[in-house]
Amino acid sequence: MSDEMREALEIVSMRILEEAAFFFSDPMNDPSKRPDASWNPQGVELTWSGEVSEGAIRVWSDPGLLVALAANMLGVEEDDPHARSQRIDALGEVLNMVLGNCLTEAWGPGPVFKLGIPHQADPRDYPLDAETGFWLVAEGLPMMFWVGGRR
Amino acid sequence: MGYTVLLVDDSETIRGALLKAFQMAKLPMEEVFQAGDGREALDTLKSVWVDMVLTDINMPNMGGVELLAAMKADPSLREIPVAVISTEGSSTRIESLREAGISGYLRKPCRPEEIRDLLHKVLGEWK
Repeated sequence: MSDEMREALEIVSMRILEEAAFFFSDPMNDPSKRPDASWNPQGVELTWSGEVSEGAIRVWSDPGLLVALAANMLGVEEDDPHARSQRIDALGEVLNMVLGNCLTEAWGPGPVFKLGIPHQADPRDYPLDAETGFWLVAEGLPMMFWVGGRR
Repeated sequence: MGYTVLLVDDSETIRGALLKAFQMAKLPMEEVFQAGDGREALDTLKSVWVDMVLTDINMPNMGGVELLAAMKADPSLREIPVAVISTEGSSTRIESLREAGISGYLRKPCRPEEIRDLLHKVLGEWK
């Protein structure tokens, strides 16, 4: 993970969760608090490319967070069927906002980047990279952002 | 009576959030049409008239830049104001969108009052 994007992620991700989904989160600084290997998160991946950098970003979320995330973004109750049906889409849009804002935070407003379309990531297809990800706690449950790429 | 708007975004969540924002901002909406990408938007615009199009940039099939270009090339659509709501933060890209004719730009995430101010700026305040 490039230092620029890692630093940007730490600044941007919690702000976006708060502004887009009214989720208040904190960094999970103690590695012993991370979930164990049995954790089965839901994830979304998004790629970007541009003159100054290219790469991919993923978010892994505890499944228990996602209905509330979608409900908050949609402004509906958690038992609204739309909250359940849109939970992955909502996570993808959070990632989209995090990436768009991270790129500006890391590289300034000048460079132009092309972003991909968020798509669901299966945890069986990707290493979780728990050591290099940015872990946080939102609403008492774990979430992890991972970004990789090159300058 | 009120505004008639076409929302163009591939995310149903974002379209739903914008609908909620219209309510929260107490905007007088006559009707809100929705499209999942630029192609769907152009299909919709063949059959309905709208006061304004609010579009994302990055979408499958046809993105917001291509939608804007297609509307500006069509004499029956070119006068409809188009505003962009996107995660895009590049001043270079935003400036090129302004040169291409967008009427406004908001960066996601945006607050209901920012959306209200954008509609008031582009369409005028509904009295």
